[in-house]
Amino acid sequence: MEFSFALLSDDKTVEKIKDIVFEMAKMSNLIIRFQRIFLRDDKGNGTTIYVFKISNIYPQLGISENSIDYIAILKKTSIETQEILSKILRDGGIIVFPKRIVDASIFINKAPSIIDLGDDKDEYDVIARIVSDISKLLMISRSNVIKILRTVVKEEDENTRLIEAYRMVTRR
Amino acid sequence: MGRDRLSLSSVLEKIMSHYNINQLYVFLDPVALKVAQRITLGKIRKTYISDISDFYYHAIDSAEKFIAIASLKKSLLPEFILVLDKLVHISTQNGGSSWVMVIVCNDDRVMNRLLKAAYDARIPLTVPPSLDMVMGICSKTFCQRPKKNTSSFSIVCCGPEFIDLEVLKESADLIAIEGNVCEGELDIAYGSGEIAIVAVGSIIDEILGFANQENLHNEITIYGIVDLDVNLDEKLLSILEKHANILLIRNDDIISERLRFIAEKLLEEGKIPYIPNIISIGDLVGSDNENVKVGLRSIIKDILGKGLYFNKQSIRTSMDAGIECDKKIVELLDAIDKKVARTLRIYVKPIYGENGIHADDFYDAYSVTKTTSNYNAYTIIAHLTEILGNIKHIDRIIHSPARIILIFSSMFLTGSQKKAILKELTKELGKHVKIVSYEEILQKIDIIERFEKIIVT
Repeated sequence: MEFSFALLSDDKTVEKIKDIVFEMAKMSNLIIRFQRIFLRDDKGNGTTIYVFKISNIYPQLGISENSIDYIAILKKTSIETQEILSKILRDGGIIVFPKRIVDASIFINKAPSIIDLGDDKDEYDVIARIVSDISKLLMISRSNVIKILRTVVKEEDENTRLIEAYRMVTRR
Repeated sequence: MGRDRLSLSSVLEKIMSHYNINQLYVFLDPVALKVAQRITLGKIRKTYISDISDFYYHAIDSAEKFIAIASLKKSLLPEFILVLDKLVHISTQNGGSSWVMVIVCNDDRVMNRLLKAAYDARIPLTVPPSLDMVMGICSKTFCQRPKKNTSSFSIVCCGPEFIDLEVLKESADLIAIEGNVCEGELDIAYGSGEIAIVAVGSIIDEILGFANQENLHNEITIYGIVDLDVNLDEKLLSILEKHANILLIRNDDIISERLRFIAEKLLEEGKIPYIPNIISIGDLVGSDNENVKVGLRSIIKDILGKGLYFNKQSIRTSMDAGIECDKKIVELLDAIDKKVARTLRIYVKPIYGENGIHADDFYDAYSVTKTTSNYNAYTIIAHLTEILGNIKHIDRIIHSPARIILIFSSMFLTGSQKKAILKELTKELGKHVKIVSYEEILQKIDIIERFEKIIVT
């Protein structure tokens, strides 16, 4: 089993997500590998993505076409960047983004599950969504995820906002 | 046993804590600063170094054990080799304290050049395949008792993939590592197959993992060269005597060069009865180095007749060391684009961003401004530490006829460091340009139209 997900965001947000995901992987006894990869197409357009690979064996180095299961886009990107991202997404993969910042038609040939969180959602809602999806994959309970969020995110305002967003996402 | 998050920073921190090392030298470069920033142990004293010659004097004067973190760019290579040569000579002849210098190469080409140049200059380098091995190398250096008048030292050459790499693994037991590595060699030889794969760097770890998963130890033998020193030829000679089929990762590295040279020599002298079949994987599949790394598993399977490799990648990936532009720079770039039509963004590496071109250094950025004419303005984005030693080139860029906006990122710098570098900048270029802060320019974006040359810090 190897699950890989990519993040398109700034360094600070990536650090935050990385801390949470590593704690979750620690809890589920799996191996996780985090890498920064610069992608470019034949025309020279490029972008940096951060890739997490979770596996029970040591995960493979690098990424190739059709190799990413889940892409989360947290910042505005150009059409060219989105085209590059569509190439690395696996057929039937998942793509998550807020405020309609992605043109979903670019990804259409991969038949992905598109999760557009809507106009009123911000960065915290996307992080909460990512955390919720990964916790389901790693079979970590809701209460344990909240415990992780409480300990990992140190800043009080951020912590409250993130837990609130996570509760909203996982509301039954 | 617990599980630990391993990164280059955490490995160095662990070593410093275990061997009671208090001194850390950090080169003023965004990549080195990024690695050092995550080392937060209270007792560690960080000394910032502006260039390699500055480091030379610190290293010579130092009476205690230390670790240094440097980042290497193409343009700095000759200077690095010169100083390292002197330093190695002094450490082996006159002794002194034990030290480890971790050189993080910004890309694969730089790493390749460093390995070649160091081999030619007889500078012993170690190239770790994994973070565990970085720990092993440091441990080996600091656990040894220095012989009379000599000091133990290691120059660790890390590939660009090590900078942002972080893994969750079983926590490393330093005492056990010490026992394993203190005496003997660090080189890796795994498997008993007829086909030999000879490699350096992180690719060894990848091949080892793959060979274990696929149970290939009876079909291939993996030789991972970790110590690149005067004994390299001997090591390669013993591989050539054992194997007729040798696979290399690339065709232009030091291993390939030496291996072919020794094979020719052995054939001439009649010491081997066969012509060795030395093939580079990159040449075999007609692909570049990065794509070989990514597709390595399927390429090896293809060679062994266990699958097919399709080389149809329309995207290229690289793990070059880099720093992403932060939010405020992106915001400013968008504002500039709205104000000035036809602007070319030039990112000076290791700064990376979207919708622009990436220049290796200020020379490169200058040549772009000179050779392109259909742009109204050039926005050059670089790290503030690039100012050190590059004032002349920045001056040239500023004096070119085009409209220039220079944006400097101060990520990983402390307030006082930023202030000191800005002072230097103002002293040298303050007369010719308008120097503004991010807040100022975002509030009064009209500044862009009023001034031809602007520096944003």
